[in-house]
Amino acid sequence: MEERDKLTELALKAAAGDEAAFEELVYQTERTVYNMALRSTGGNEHDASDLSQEIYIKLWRSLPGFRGESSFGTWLYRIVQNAAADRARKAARGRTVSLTLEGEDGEEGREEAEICDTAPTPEEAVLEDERSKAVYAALDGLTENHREIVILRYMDGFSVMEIADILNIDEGTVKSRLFRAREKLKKILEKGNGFG
Amino acid sequence: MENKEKNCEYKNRIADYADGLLEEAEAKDVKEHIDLCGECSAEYKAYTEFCGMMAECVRPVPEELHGKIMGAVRREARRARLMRAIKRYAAPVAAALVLALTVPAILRSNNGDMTEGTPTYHDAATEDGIVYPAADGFKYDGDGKSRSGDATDAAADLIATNSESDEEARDTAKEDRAPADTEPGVAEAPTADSAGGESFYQYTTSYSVSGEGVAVCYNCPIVEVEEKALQRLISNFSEYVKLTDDKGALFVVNDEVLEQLKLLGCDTENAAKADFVRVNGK
Repeated sequence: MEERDKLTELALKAAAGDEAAFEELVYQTERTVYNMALRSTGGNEHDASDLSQEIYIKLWRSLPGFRGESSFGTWLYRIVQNAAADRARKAARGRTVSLTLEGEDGEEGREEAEICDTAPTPEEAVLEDERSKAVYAALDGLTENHREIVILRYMDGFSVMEIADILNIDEGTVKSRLFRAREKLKKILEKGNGFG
Repeated sequence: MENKEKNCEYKNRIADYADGLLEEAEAKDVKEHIDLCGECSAEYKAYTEFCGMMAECVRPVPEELHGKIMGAVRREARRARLMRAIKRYAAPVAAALVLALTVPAILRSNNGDMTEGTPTYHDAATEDGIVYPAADGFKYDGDGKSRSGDATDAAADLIATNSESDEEARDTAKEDRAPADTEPGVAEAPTADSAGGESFYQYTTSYSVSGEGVAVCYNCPIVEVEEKALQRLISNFSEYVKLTDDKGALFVVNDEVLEQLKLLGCDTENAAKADFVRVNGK
């Protein structure tokens, strides 16, 4: 939590035009942002890199509007979600592609083809080592609520207060949900012998 | 009984203790208990291992990414500074330039076929029921006002005119929504003849529920297209293309808008040669 308060202070300085503060903000948050982008782009590193840049450009543009009333983490989360959603919408529209095909008599025609999405699930695609794969497989065994909250807390590093803000629930609910999610996750991992 | 209750109480605080969220005195108390209680000690160990395991799933940032991020942001900052400088110093010249550019376009459009939905440069309801504001009703930086703010004002006015209720219109104008699935009321795209390599002004309006007006002008120094509006415009043009089975809509762009269109994934290959960018149903 102390770290997040520092981020909010940095963000306020950056909002006032302090470029060094902005760069420090990037250093402090780029790992979280990149990983959120990776999950959102199905593990595609190139796309995640592009998305990360878009996110920080959006952040830079919107910083003048940041007053510190909510924590910077919550602010950043919403920017990332919006940017990822925008990108997903654009990607979805591009899924049907117009192709120019040569017909039997050599004439060009136009046909529409659908590109099937055969990419691995976003979570699986991100991973390289077996243990991490086991964790993500176990995460799939959680409910959506539990999975989301575990990722926000233990991978993205948001505080309980920020998660409460993001999910619009109270802190007590966050903590109890986290507790139950951890217990469930541990059980799944122990069952699968993915974690000893 | 007392000990059991105490243990339960400590167990609930172990996560907060491990996360460094407790006040100093409380943290000291919990630590001392953990040192004495086997169950809580095991719980603490399990929790820290769990956190470590989750942290391993987080990928490191590619080496070059930080530089790319800062480069992208600095370019954006330079662009914004340039636009502010242009606004400050070129406004009178730009205003005159806009007039010089719009008059020929108005004359051309008045001489050509007036099809339904073609924007006219006066406030009038067309047969499709959509009102297109006058060209000079769309405020530019030349007025000394911020362009994106004025675009929103112009759009809000447009929506208020076209929507069923003013209240709904104000709400939708302010909301950040994806383009709605509505009938396209897009302005007629410039034809190759009408554009023909010349610089001219083409006013377009978005017809989605929360649409915003976008002015696109080639070689016009006062244009700054708000990205959200541009995305929506492209999206709406794409819908128009699909619905009308057109081969593509054409914009007239300047270098700044061109860059934005590139970032948004449009095919800008021919844009350098002609004054157009083709939207291919994206």
